Amino acid sequence: MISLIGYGCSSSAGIGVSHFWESLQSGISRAALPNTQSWPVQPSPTPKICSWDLETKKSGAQQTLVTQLSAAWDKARSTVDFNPADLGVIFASTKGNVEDFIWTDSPPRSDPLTPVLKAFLEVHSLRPTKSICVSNACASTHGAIFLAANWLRSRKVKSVLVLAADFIGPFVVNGFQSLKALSKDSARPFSGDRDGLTLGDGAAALLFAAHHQNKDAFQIEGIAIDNEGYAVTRPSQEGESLGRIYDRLRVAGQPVDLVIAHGTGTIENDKIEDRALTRAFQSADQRPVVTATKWCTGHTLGASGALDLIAAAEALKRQEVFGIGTSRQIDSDFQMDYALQTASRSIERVLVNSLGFGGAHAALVMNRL
Amino acid sequence: MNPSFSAEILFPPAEKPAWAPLVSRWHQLDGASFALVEAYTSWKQSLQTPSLIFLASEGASNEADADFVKTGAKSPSKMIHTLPSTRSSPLCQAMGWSGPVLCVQKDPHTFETALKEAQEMVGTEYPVVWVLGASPIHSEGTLKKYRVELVQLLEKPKTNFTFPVPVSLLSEALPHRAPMLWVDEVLWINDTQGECRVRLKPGKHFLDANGAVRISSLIEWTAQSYGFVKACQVLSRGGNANPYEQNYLAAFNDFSFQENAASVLQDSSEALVRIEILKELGPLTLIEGQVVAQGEVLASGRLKVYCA
Repeated sequence: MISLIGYGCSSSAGIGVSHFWESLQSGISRAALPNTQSWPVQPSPTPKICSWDLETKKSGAQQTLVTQLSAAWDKARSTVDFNPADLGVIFASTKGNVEDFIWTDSPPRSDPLTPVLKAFLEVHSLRPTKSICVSNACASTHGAIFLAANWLRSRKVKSVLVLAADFIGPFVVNGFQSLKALSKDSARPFSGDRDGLTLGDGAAALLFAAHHQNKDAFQIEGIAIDNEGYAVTRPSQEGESLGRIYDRLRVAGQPVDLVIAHGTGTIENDKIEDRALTRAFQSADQRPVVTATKWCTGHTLGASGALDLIAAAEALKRQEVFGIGTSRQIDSDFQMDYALQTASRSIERVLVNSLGFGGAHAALVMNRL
Repeated sequence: MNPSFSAEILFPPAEKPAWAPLVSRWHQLDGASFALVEAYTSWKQSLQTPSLIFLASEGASNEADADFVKTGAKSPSKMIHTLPSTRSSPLCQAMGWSGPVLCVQKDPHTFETALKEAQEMVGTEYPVVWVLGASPIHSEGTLKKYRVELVQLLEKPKTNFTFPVPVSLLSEALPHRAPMLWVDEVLWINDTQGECRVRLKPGKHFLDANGAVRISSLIEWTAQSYGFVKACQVLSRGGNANPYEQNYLAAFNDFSFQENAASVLQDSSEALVRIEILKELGPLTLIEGQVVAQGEVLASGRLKVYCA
């Protein structure tokens, strides 16, 4: 068991956790259309993308990522007594700074994640004992926490900073457009009329330590990841991979009050999450309520798991559930109970799902002392 | 015994591979994914079922990213390979396996770093850990060649040292011999950094006739520290401490000294040398060094070291 002792974020909802939480509570999507005129390739038709500060994007992907991560880290650091000694740092992202070089003829000298991590460490004068990047598609944050837990268990470091961010630019937007995965207007997770996802910039900083008795800390009871050999383009139709993860986490044998689903708003994602959750909790005395965040901030890819973890922490702290603001009518085939509005609720344990392209699945269970 | 495997795979293949029925849309795989499955298939009789896989490919999916952009960023079949982690899917299909896969990056040390992580994790919870990577190495027209590497870890490497490590245990690493070994101990290392101690005792060859440290020696301290840190890194991964036949200082840039360096060292019993590996380009390694005594930075700068 490891503890989440500090966190901060920036997203289309603004900088800081309070803005993020207020947006989730408000039920209003923070989506905004970006100016794509300077892009080397125009997406057609232009999708809806959440973008919180288009001006900063002019300076390039790496600089934007470092700026967003710095904003998130500054917020996280202000909430915790941070000691940089014996620190591990993990950067979770899908595409890092790829937009900076992929449209040019010069071949890249590195993977697109490591330079972002290096730049962040330089800006903040951090010299960690260990550092690495994790790129497990949209389940990257969970992959990073999986590794962080091992670092802390083996006492290689005393704390681990997990940084998570992705930059939404022409490469990413055209990629999702080519897969026909984008919604025509707004993501409506778990809704009967859902038609795809919206994308959004996001960054988060999560600081973990070995088990903490601090009353403000959150405990990661368990985390599991599973990559399935089904197909590159789609998950197994009954959510078997998530099922294996739930078995490993033993979610059926313990009360779970809230699920923060991956909830992208695509037909396939939401269907397999509902099926896997229904199976896992079919014999539970009280089934958890399910909610999601991507309708509000857009899908922030590698950062989405981190934002969901922050949402889970805030829900535990405030004893409140936020609704899926853009969804009006849940898919009639779905069996789970979905939150459509903000409500008070007794919450002791939260399950946070994260699903990635290519069969990368993960989930974790978090509680509060 | 932790066996390792290496193969060079050509892509596209001349004929349909034997494993094609196992992998959905095998004909749409990118070169790196194809190479991984092809290499695995040739090695599988010698492999045990993994409990954890580290996927660690230098350059991530840069090649697939470029291929996607060449289509005008429109091709869905190219798009699906623009995440390095998706390579695990065809591999899992060919293996008939599912389980935890961590796709990690730390270029130019991606594979080494993953190997070190895997060495730390192999044990009761993960008895068999694979570190696996595929990267393009050559192309001629449309034909490309990929190198695939796999290390199967069944046990933690046995290292016979704990920090601080006296350099006498690392004597194979550098051509220097006493009295020209000026660094005394390696205090710690990580993937790209390390720190050494130099004891300032009478009789050392870096002292002048008056017993004062010759300031130019600080450059040699830094270069030797790099050599011993590198040796510890290699040993900690289960390798040979003497991987190079030639190893010498090639150049130094902007290496500057504080004016009070000599006087501070005069009153010190030791100096600490911290080095960081910035870049490895073929046989040349660029490092940054810093010499500290009594909490003061006395010298710092960059060196190029030649290792071949």
